[in-house]
Amino acid sequence: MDYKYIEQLLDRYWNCETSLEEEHILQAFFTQKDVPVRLLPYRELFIGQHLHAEEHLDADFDKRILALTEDKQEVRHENRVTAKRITRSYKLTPFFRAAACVAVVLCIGMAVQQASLHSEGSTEYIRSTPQQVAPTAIPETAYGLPDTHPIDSVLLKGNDNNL
Amino acid sequence: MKEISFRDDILPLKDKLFRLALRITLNKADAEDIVQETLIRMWNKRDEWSEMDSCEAYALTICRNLSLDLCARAGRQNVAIDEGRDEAPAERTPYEELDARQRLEIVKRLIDQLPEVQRTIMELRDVEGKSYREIGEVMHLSEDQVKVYLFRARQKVKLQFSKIEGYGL
Repeated sequence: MDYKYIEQLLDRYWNCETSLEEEHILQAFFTQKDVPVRLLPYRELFIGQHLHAEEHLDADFDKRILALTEDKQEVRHENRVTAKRITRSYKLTPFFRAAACVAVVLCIGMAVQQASLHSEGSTEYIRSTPQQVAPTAIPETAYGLPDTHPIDSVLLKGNDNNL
Repeated sequence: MKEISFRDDILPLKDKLFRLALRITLNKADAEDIVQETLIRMWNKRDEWSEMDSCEAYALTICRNLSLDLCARAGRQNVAIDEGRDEAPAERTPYEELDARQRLEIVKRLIDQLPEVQRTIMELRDVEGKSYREIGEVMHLSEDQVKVYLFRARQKVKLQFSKIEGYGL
């Protein structure tokens, strides 16, 4: 196999003349198993870089960071503002309450008025009974009283004394 | 314009940030702390995400600065020690494992001996596959400067390789 291309790339690599893509080619070449003996010493450099590129932090690190940043802020938001969907009936609740209060007041008012009217009606009935009875009573009295002292006779007696 | 999400766009950068911090600090625990601090700083800057040219470049810059600060505080130099490297995939034979470790140690030693700027540029180019422009954004350098630093780094590594080959390891 001809490794001239790789050797050329390697020379250009040392002189910083390679592009990122060409450096990826070198990386891929040197991390494979079949590397010619004369290029073997440089393999260590690319393998070392490749192994270093595998260094990473564990998943617990994410949890710790999120607890110190985003999650902390979410808790603050929860304490400060609570998002809640408001329905139309929920929005109109104060009006419903007001209407209910008005209805109760009206009912009570009507009930009181009814009660007072009812009581006034019975009084009138009580008052009106003698008035209604009177016209019939007078004749009864007029006609029912014993005619022991007729008016005309009393008047006449008085007139006689004056005379 | 797509809205940037911390969970979907910023948090997935954690492994890149970790590798960069690890390359500079050479210590896994320190690198993890730096990534955490970087992500929290990114979170605190969430109002400015939309104004950033590249959130990734910004995060990498923070990560690099924090790593350098830590190294400066600790007075740490390019000491190549990584305790986590003892873990090896189970499917390797003992011979392959030894071979892999040796390879790794050689490469690590070579790269870790480079000055920080060259080491970081090599990391961003060869491991993360960044363009010269992207590396320049992270490091606040021009593309030409990046290329010069990378050239020096690769030439040093090549020289070291030729020395090792000459000594027969």
